Amino acid sequence: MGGRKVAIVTGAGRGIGRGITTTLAERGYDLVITSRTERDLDGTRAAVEEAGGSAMVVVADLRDPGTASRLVRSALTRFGRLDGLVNNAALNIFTPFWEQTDADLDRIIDTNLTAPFFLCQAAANHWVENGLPGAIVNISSAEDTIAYPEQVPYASSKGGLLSMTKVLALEWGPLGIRVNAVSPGSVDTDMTPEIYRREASSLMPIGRLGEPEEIGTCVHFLLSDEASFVTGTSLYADGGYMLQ
Amino acid sequence: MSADLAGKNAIVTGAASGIGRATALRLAADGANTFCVDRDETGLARVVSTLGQGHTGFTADLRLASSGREVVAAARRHWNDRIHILVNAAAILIREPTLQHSRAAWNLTLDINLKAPFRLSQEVVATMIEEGVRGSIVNVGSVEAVLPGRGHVAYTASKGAITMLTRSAAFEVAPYGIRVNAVAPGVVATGMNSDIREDPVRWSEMLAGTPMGRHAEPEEIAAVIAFLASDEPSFVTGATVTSDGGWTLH
Repeated sequence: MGGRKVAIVTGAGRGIGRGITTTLAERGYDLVITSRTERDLDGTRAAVEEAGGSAMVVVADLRDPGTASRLVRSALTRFGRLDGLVNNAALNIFTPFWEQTDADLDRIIDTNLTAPFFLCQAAANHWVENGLPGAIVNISSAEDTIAYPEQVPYASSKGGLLSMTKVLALEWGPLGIRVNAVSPGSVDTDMTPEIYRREASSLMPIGRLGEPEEIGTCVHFLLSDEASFVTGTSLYADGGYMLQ
Repeated sequence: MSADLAGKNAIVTGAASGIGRATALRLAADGANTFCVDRDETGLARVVSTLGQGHTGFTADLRLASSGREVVAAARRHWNDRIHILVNAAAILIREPTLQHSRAAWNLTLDINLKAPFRLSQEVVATMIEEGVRGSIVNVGSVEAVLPGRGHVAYTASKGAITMLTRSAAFEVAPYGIRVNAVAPGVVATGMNSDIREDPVRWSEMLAGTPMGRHAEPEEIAAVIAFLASDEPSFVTGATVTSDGGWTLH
């Protein structure tokens, strides 16, 4: 299929999500961008348009069960096609394990694991019903493998996301739907704890934090036909953090 | 979409056939100048003539300890010391059951599959640091680093070692802006398995383990290598990109 491709990116208003969105727009994608905050999405839409793409803004809460099908429908209604899905939205709350509340646990698991699951399902249903190939990239984290203190729900959700990525890849491999993950290390966003920024040169083998666009290039690669034999894997983009 | 490798100088080992050959062609298509290394002189000549101007063949026997230095010294002379990319694709696979695996087969396999990438990386990294080149090294590992096949223990051991060679080299050279990564292919149609491909029963058994239900062409692995060799994954180092159609998922 020629023309511009179309992808859904969740959590597209800020940080890594905006970096992914902008990178994809520069490389020929139109985008359905979603977040709970309209003002953030306006900034991302402007960045997409500057990069020569079109963006459809969908203000939505990923914890709402209707959001997944709404996003897929939005792509088809506005652009007439859907090529890729990027599950990027995530929530982390730093709290000692014994002080974690039920409410926070639910919010984190719902956002980081349950929402990606049902979005994968909605996108794959569209592809399977129409006999189309598709590609999904789930944004995991170095924490799908290594541990940090005070973020048990977040780490659990990312471990779950990685396992889910593998199962979906296995199930959907025969259907021409590839499912992969990108697992970022510390990336410079407005959510980056100040201490990471201050100590990046000693914390990171590469000597610096990552930029959101450096996650974008990895997502672009995995969505593209360049990665035609790559499925069920995670690309660790961590500046070598996990080597220590 | 192609990675932009315009003006980059790339050494590719095992360039006469299989994944190495596909990689040389792919990097050249993306704009790189290639320095193709193989011991198969005829195959090498054929690849270089396909590549055309700006590309060079260099015959070397990578089982020799001196080969790392010779290859890199020749590439340095050729490119006035500027080397940006090294792809370690040369490898052999010898089928001998573990209990009968000969010392000769074991040594030969480790010499070519593990020690040559080590020696070449060492020489190339020294050159990159000297020249201030923020280069990229890509090693070809295998899914067998995770899930072993039967009857070629030295190959499997050498590929497991490639994973950690990649990680430890990446860790050490990261401060210089040099990235070291690997691709781990699953079933790819190359000379390494041409005998199995001729046997429909064995070949379909082999493909049965791949959820995508097919093998890869060498070009699909070359595409992953081209990505890793380029500046695109600038925050990725020490990583192994599994490219196996889902082989290792269960």
